[in-house]
Amino acid sequence: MRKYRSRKEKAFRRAAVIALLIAALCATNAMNFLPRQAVRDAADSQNMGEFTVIRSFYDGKLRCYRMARQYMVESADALLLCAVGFDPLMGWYDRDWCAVSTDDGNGIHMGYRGHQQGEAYSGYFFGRLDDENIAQMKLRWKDAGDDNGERWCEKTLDEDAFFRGENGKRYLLWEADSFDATNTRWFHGMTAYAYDEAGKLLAEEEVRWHDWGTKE
Amino acid sequence: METIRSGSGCSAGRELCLKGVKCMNRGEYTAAVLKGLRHVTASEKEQIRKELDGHMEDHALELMERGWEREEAEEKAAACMGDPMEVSKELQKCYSYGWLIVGRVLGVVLVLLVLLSVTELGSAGYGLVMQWQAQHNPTKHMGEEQRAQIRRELDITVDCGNSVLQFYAVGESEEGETTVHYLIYNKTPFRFVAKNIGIRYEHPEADEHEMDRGGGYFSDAWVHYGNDDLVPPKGAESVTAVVTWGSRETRVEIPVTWEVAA
Repeated sequence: MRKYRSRKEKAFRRAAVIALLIAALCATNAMNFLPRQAVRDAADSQNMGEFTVIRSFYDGKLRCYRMARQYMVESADALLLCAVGFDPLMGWYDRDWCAVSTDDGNGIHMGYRGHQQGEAYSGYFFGRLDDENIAQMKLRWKDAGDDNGERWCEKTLDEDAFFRGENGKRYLLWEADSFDATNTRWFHGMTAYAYDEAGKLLAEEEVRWHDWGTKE
Repeated sequence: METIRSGSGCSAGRELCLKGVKCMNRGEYTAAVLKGLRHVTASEKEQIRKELDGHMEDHALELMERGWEREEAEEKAAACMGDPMEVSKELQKCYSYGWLIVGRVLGVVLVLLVLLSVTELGSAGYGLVMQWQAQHNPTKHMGEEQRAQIRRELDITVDCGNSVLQFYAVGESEEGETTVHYLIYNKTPFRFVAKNIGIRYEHPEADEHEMDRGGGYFSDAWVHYGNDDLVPPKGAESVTAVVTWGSRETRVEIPVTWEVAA
């Protein structure tokens, strides 16, 4: 005779099967139920080890970012800025990323990740400042515009771009709004310069650049 | 008769009838109880019907063994169950509407999840097979033509953080170039392959162009297969593969000679 199960028991059994399936999907990396799992995928693609989240935020400027979250994470040897999106059928997945190495002994580590969708653009400079004396940072690049790339341009980063993480290290996260962001050619070959209070150059590094595009 | 009524816990029968409640048979009584229940599924109704029927049947049989007529015994057994509306009320407490909704929502989630799991777990299974194949049978993905060009199998492994780079064969292209075959996979099963591992080849007597004559790759989320064409200097026993990821660099010697079949 078929065993009778109460409504509560049925609900618990279903919940248990759901939990088992979720565990199987997570263990096999088949589906991400948390954004952090998608960040793990992005970190894997950049060969990063275990990471900690430095900052996460929402940026809905692009249509493809409306169901996405931005993460700046750090491992023992790299810093990563990535966007992870949510799809009801796929769960959380890695959308785009840019990683910079942080184990090269340099005083600054700088990257840029941009994403264009139609006319809309979202771009962020990010990095870590290992030299405590850094008081100001400038970006310098050669304009690839009308005069055949002979013009040097310079931009000083705002103070609010810098922040201190919970681990005590200094980081940089700056939205590249004030540039003509749809013209990304100038990001190639861009160099970041770090100065102390007196204006003495402390470190310089070529900005690691990664630009992405999504169809409208 | 009185002994039976008190012994079976039955005290309602005659009184109910006397109070004007219609004497019912088993079927009528069960129907009356079920009528008073709300939000009960068809299977639950069937279960309740069986349960009540079973009780009344047992009681009626007991009465019949003691000399009652079947019809009377059934009416008596039904009456002994108590007021059907009261029984409905008591039963309703066992069938919480909240748990019904929770169970149904979970049922829908479960069905969706099972459908998703079929494809997603299938994909993960494919990834696992690809990782296993990369470690145990790396030439399996090749076509016959490409496999025929292999001259020497290698087993040179480079530890690149979470991923492993393995040089597994050298071959000879149709143009006479040396082809170095390699693959990359994540050390952890199911996890994705690193995409930032770079390889360049060096030999003191060769220029950069000879060490980078193109190549090809075949890649999915779990394994990256690649082949690089190069032209080592004549007589060279090996070339140096410089493997880079992040700011790290590892150098390994790749033999580029093989025995020519007689």
